[in-house]
Amino acid sequence: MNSPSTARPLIGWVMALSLAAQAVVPGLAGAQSVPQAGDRAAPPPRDRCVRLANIDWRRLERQTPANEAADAARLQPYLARAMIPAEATLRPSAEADIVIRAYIPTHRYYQTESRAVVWREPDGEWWFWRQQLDWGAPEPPPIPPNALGPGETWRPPPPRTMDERFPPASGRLSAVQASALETAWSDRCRVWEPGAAGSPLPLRRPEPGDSRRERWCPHGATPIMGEITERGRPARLHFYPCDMDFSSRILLSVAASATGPSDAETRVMERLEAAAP
Amino acid sequence: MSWRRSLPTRWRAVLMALTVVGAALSPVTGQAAQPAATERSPQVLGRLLAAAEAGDRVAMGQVGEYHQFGWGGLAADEGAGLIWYRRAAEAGDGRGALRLGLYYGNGLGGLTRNRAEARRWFVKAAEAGEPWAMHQLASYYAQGWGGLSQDWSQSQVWRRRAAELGVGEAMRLLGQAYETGEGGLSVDLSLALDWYRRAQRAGDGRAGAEAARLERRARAPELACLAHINDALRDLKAQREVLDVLPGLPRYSGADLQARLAVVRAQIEAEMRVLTTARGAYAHLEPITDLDRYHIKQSPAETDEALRGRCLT
Repeated sequence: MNSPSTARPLIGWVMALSLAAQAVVPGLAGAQSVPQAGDRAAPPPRDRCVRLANIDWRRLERQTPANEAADAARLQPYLARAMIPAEATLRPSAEADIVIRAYIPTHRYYQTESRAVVWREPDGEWWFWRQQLDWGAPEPPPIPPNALGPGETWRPPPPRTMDERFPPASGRLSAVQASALETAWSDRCRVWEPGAAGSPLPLRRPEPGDSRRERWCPHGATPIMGEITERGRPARLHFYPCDMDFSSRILLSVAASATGPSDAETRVMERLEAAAP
Repeated sequence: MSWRRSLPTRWRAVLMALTVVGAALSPVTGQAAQPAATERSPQVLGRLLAAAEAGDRVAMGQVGEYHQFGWGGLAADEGAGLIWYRRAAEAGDGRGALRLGLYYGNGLGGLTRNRAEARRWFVKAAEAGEPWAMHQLASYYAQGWGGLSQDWSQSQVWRRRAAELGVGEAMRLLGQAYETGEGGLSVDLSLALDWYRRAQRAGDGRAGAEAARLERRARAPELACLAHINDALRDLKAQREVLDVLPGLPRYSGADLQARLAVVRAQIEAEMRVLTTARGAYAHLEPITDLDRYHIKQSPAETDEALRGRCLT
């Protein structure tokens, strides 16, 4: 596990990445997957994908040619933080057909680090493990006792472990989030999406209300990185410096905010149970 | 405990003090005996002066008011007012004694504030039947001013006498006492409302708002129903949102689960219809304010089942 001090250098890295992604990580911005043999349903032609139709792929590739080795070298140290601890009892089975790891570092206006893993088991059920680390408030100092007996001495207790300070949560994923994951997962255009996109993203035409042929991330946006693995396929790395209209980005975002069933969902489950014949 | 009772004593004292100061500075005090603006002419002043010089103690006090408030073509002059009030008070005029007491109590007309002297004149004025002096005495007893020990029951005695003689502000404060149990009164919201309404009719500027607030408070049981129904509807909507996404999940694709989902949806929609119909009876109370929520919280607690039984029938 990482201490706050080791997490800090990431802020600078991500800020730099958000401001000039191509310059800092040339291997990421243009990385784009190609539909692989064995896809369950062939994706539509790239230009037919509405969310991708305006991306200027040629400029993107020219600016930042795909370089999977460089992607891995850059991202793996951070993604290593989004790992379920060995002692955790709930973890993906060997048969899990989808595993998504997501990581949001602390950044300019946001002092919380998110580490999450969501996965789908063969029965279609989604599960999650997530840890939120709020580095914004330092741990309060230990409080000494009001009085000590003769000969007694007081020693402060050892500092709490990171898991004690920020207990991870895990369990069945909420249905609303599972549904969002299923929707994003079933987007057949997803295979065309850039595995990582920088800022600015080159466009063919300016977007409504803008005169530039590129899409810039807003100042102080939240970056996200992750790894999406489908059983039997190689894992794919992702990095997005801000919210982008890609299904892969949605998969990572939902994973990073994974929660268990809401009260309403629990009540629906109780009703379903009661409605059993 | 009501929100008003929960005000720190210090703040209640400040409010009370503001009431007393306001009375001293306002010509409205003792409105019933004031000459109308059209009558405050130099001619009327001349007639009053003649009467005062002839020993009419009521006229002396009125001449003092002409000086203090600058009526009848005079420049406002608290010092000149003081001279005439003192003459009137010493001659036994209740109104003059009230004015003189207000001068002492608030340090007007060059006097140093002297609450003991103020109290002495308020007592004389009250004994002469001056309702506003009774109202002042009530405040002095409430605060323990002018050498008095703080005495809420005496304060209530004088407040009630002032209220019964038509002082709107005293009526409102009496209503407040019934609402909060101040001064040892038993809390009686219907009496409180009655006094607020009487104060409003007597022209007290704040009584209308107090009456409206108390009327709203009295509806706490209905407001609790509305809040309960709104919460239940919100929860059912959230359940329906969950139901909307479940059929799309692989785990729920089986025919049996789809059938059960349909049953649950029908249940939820039936419950929503019942609640929506019941809500119609309370919808006129919308919106529920933070103060409403406070009053609901202060009411005797009810379980969800009890609320359902009471509100949905």
